Amino acid sequence: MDHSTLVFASVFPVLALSHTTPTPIATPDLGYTAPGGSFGSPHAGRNVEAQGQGQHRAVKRGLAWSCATRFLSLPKNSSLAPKPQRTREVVEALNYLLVGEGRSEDGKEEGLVQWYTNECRLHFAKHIRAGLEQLWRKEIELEHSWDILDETQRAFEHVQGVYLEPFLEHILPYLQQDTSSSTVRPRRPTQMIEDSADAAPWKFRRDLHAIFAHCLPSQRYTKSLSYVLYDAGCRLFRIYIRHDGIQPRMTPENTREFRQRMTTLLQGLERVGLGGDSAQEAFAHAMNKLLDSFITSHYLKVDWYSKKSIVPHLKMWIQDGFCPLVELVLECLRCEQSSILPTEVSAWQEMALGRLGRARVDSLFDFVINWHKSLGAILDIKEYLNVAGAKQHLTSSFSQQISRRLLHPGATSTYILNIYISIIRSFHELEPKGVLLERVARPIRRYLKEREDTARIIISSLLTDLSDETGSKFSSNSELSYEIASEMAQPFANYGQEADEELNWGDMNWQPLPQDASPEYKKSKVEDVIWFLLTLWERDDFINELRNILGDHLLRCQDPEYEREIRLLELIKLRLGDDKMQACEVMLRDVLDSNRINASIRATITSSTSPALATPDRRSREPQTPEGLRPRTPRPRRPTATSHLAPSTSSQVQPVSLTLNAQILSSFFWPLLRDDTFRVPAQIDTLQKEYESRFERIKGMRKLRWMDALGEGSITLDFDDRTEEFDRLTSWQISVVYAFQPQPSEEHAAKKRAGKGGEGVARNVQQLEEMLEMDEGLVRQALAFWVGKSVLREVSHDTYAVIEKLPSKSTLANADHEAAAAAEELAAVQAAETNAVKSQSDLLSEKKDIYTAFIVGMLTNQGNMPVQRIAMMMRMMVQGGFPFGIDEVKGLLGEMEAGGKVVGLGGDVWGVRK
Amino acid sequence: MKVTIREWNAVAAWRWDMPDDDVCGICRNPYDSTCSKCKFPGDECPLLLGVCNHSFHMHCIFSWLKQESSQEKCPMCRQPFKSKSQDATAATDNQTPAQAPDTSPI
Ligand SMILES: [Zn+2]
Ligand SMILES: [Zn+2]
Ligand SMILES: [Zn+2]
Repeated sequence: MDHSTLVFASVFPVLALSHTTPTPIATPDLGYTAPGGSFGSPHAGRNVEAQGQGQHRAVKRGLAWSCATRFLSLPKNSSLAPKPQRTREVVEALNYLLVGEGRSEDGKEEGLVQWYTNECRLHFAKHIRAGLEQLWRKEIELEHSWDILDETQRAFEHVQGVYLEPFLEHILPYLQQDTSSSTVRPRRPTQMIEDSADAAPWKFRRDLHAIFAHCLPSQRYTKSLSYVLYDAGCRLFRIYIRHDGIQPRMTPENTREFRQRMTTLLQGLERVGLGGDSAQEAFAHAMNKLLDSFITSHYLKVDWYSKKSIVPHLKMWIQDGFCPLVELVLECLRCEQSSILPTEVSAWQEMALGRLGRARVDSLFDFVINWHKSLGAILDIKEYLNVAGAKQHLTSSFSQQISRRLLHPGATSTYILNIYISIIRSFHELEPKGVLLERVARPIRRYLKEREDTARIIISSLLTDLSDETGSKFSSNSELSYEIASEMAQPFANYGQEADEELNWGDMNWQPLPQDASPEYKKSKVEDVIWFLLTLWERDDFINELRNILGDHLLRCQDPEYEREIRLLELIKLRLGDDKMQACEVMLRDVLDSNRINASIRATITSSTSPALATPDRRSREPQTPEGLRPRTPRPRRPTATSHLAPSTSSQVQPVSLTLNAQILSSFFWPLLRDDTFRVPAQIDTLQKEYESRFERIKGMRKLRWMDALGEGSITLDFDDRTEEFDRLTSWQISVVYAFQPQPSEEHAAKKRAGKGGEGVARNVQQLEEMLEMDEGLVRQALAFWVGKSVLREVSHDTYAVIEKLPSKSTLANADHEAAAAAEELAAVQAAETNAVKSQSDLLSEKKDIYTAFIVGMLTNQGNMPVQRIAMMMRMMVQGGFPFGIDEVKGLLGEMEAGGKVVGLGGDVWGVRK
Repeated sequence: MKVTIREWNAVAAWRWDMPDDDVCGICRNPYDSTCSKCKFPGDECPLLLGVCNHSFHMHCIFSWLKQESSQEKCPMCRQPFKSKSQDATAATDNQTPAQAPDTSPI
């Protein structure tokens, strides 16, 4: 038998190879056994021939072997079998074999210890193993883990006791005796350690433990033990959200008892050799899960109220709760090092922080939505950012959350803007340097930029007064963002011209740029929400958009002081610089100056007409202040005192009380404005002509052009049965209703008709178009408006009549009511679509003929061209510019193709149809 | 029905009474815009019409005339530049651009 086989046999119970059964008592002729045919150790025979004396020793050893092995052999059931007597013969045999001449030298023969170990192995295999294997045959259900481990441990403990007893009683004393004498005369010191009596029991136990461990399915054992430790931890720390889904008991556990049970089991397992590597592996696994469960159970709740980070508390738990448990377990398992070093404590803490941080980051979007209540959670994440790899994780996880939850067509631009602002605010807390913000905001900025209503929402919101606009205006569907408006309400910080802040030598807080900063970073002024919004676009694009929106806004504005508008321009100049702001400033100056111009023109009118018709009260009260310099409302929202009183005192002089206010625009600087023309009421026309001539007289070389569609006014309607007032109507609404007054030739007819259905003057759409020289669409819009106000009624198709007397009969009233409701809705929709500033599409359709002619001419002269070139040529060559892109050109070409003028030649190349 | 207009707010655009799309021969900006130094058009940056019927932003022609090389001639037609309006004539004669026409506040 070669060495490797022996080694193999010592570990694995391949009994047939290595074990000898005790020699039967009746075996005769011991001394005459043929050389090599010994009934004793199979190894014994090998060296027998070496010497003549050897033969004698072999015989003697064979006898002793037989005696000792018979004595030491293990009964099937140790508790029932009578203990064998240790006779003198046995003592001699043991002595001879263990420490006497019969001991095995250099492992050439089988030693008695070795034999006994094998005997144990055999015994275990024959009588014990099956039962344990039965216990562990199947997957262990979690709830049985404790019991099975307990039972296994008890079984091993018992059988270990049975095996150890003979060893300790009958083998070890001889070995110890030998050692004590051999220390007096030391021989071969190298062998001392292996052979010494101290090593023997250790080695014996180790062999037993190998036998035990071998009989358990190791993965199943590790798993069960791991579960048991996890369960223990969960109970000790009162964890209520567990991996295994087990609901915690309602009554708190008796933790001391439980700790005792765990300690007992672990110590027991360690005694039978099951506390080694696999136990430690199970333990590590359990602690890992325990940490997760603990965080899930106790720390995922955000502290919404005190707004504090829970990280310090978590760290404290690691140090004072978790680590002591780990130490206890390590001690039970008798690990080499059972106390935990401070560095290990902080490693656990960092691990826990990593878990907490990742969980927090997964919900970061919710925390952003709930900023600033979520400050506690944000502070947790801020701690987490110190963990290696945290920033990358945050960036990628949050970007995913954004693309899933924010950047989709269902979200309104206002909502996206509000969330973006919350992101700016919360990330400023998270990482004041702004590197993370810059990274995560990139897709949001790109997305917002693509939305065509973004600029309008931002600018309108910046122009909204928080103080007098309450709640309803700021729903997320609205075109106004409360967040932006509230940013505007804060005092301006002086961000503006700090271009050289990098070189501010006096700045003691100066820090080098973070290494991971992108080139964009330098430009960002982290905290300034408005700055982020204003820089969504290229500066020039933004200013251009601002001009359009501001133009519209100024014409609608109700504040005579234009305070918010002045402030907005200040802000924008402060943030973005003065360049290219001229148009906006001129527009603002125009509306502010209009007050002054109105006043001076009115002054020339009053001085040239009867002084009685002027407003003497004002002049006498404040004689030294020229009227125009006072910030007076260009359009009083309420009728002035004169207009209120005039009709009642003398309805005949009524026109005198009407004053014309005008806004005089420097048209070059304004965006293209609506320029539909129509006939305004004659009375207004007269006033406008007068105003115009005076203006042109005062301001030499200048002429005025009235923009009829932009006017507005307030009127009173006197019916047969009622009087109604309307404020701030559009000029075309007034012009249309004005046209329903009886013409001098109609007075008689109107009077006659008014008797029947209560209807007065009637006009049809075509008549109105001709009378007012007004576009049909505008006529119909105005008619719908007046039907909605129950002023007009459609009496036959396209013919409308004044409702002079409101019907008393309910049916007719209902019909009117329904028509009015429908019309009002229509009018509201149309009003919403009406802008003072022309939209791009208005402009395109208006100039379509010019563009079409240009394209045909160009393609005829220069041959076929690709779309890009056509667009470029148009931008360069078309009179008055071509403020459109490729898409519009494609649209135009498509229409022209349908009209048979051009033909697509493929690959975006177009030519003239021949 | 009788309509009584209580209040009327109109909007009007002003332009210099010049041919459309014409620009100042000196700064090349449209008349309705400003000279390159001014921010606000109109009163603050008026036009000046010469007897030769060439017109410029007042600031433009003044600074042109101040240069010796201009020899006080119209940059367009090389005739001696004289303003058509009386005030302007006085202004150019006295070389006091500050007293420009059309700037009297109204
Ligand atoms: Zn000029
Ligand atoms: Zn100027
Ligand atoms: Zn000239």
